[in-house]
Amino acid sequence: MINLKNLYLCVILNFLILFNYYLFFLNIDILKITFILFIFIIIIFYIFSYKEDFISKIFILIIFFICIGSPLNDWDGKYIWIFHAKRIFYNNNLYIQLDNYMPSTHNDYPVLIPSLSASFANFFHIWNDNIPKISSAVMVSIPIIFINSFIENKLKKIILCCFFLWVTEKTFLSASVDDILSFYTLCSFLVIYFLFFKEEYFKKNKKLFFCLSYTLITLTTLIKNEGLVIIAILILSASIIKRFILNQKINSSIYLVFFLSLFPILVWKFICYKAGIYNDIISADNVKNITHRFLDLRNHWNIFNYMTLNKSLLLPILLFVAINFNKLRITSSKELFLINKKKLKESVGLLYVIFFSSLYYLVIYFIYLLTPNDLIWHLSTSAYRVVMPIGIILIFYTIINMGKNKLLR
Amino acid sequence: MIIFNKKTLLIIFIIFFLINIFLILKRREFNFSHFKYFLRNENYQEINKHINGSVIDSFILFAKKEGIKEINFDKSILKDYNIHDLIFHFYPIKYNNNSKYIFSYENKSYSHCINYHDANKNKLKKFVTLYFCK
Repeated sequence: MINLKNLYLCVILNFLILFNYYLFFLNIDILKITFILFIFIIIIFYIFSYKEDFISKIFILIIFFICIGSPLNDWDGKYIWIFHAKRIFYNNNLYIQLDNYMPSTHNDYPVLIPSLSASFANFFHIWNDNIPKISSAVMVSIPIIFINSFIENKLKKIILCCFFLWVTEKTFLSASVDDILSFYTLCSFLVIYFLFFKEEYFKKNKKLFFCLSYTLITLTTLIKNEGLVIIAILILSASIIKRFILNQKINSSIYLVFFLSLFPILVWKFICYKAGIYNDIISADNVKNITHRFLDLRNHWNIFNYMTLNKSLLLPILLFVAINFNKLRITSSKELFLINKKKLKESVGLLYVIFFSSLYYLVIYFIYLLTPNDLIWHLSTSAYRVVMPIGIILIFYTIINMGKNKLLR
Repeated sequence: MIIFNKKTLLIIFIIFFLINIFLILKRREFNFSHFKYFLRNENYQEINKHINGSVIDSFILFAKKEGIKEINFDKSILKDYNIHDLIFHFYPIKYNNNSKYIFSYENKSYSHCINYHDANKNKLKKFVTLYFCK
């Protein structure tokens, strides 16, 4: 059974974060502090109100505890995300990074989380290195509330928390946004899965489901550049499965949700483009790099090595293959090629996981081939982080399908 | 084949959970002393052994009074400090390597004193020494 109370809390929290961003976006000063106050009230209400979800409540308390008691020691977290937040805080302007001061801090990155961090600092009327980090704790807490509303079994909740920490350990609460993006990817993955394949779960709560889809997908795209890629791949994978494998029509209301959700990030990208700020990956040497690197097998080994043989992905892949071995064998041989619809419908969740993971992996692989930076440096500083969403989804699929739960089958 | 019952599994995963939390605490350099900084309005972290946050905060206030918006860092500082750390902590004073104001410290042994001087002059003719540090 799905815990609707938690889902309502998630929707409200997501809307508060989005409204805070939109107020910054429209240069409106009022209400931001009120939104932050409401965020605190809702999280406190969740932790201390009713007796369910003991494990997730403890987990959220631990998150806030770690967040407040640790310094800023991560390069990305400090010099990209908190630095952007500091600039927004001191200038009270979301567009301040469009002056391209310090281009090494990636001024094209979306500013949802920096704007939230700046609002927290505004709320307390002070700036130090700790207060803006609360945004990380809040942003991690929301997916935890969301994911826990689908799980009843306590053991599964603990196992999931363990593996989530295991996969995201290197960036967890570092003020870097990769851990947040991984959790939001999982939320968007679930929402898009329900949108395409299991609408009946929310037949009685269509408005709630619409709000959930809109907020979660929008937030995923606004967290980091990868978010847009992830959402595009999630939609593409679901569409391919629905249209070409299951031979079913795609509901037209789905397009409306996607259009509304992708609009804010596209506007931000357009503003960056107009200001002459581009992603550092895109350069004139891209084609030269890819032709040069593609023919050298050592590059392929390096990319595979850094992307796969790391803490974030290796254990999730092993667990996923070991526990779903029988299903994987059947899906990959008979049904996929003979197109046995009945069997395929039963394992649509598995197909969706495999499609998304493979496509996303290939896209990142391709990006590493064309990067203008030194390949080894780029891989060693980022590969373990960008594969986290795949690890989280593989772990979630594996754990949720153990036992009687048929949510993702 | 070993089959665990639910209770044993629960204990195993609680231990696994605690190990993960410990790893994160270690990686994030968790320390109870950081709680006292939570509501302080300052660059609390000592970015290096020479300059601490309160000195930078005082310099920022001083620079605001003087109308200094951009500074350059002295080469001797850049030897000891990470440029990104300086840029981060000195904001809203921006870094510009063509700025006429250069941030330096007079003497390393007298490490918490900060000067700024006119870059156009080779010698430190005009400088203000800030003695509000430890």
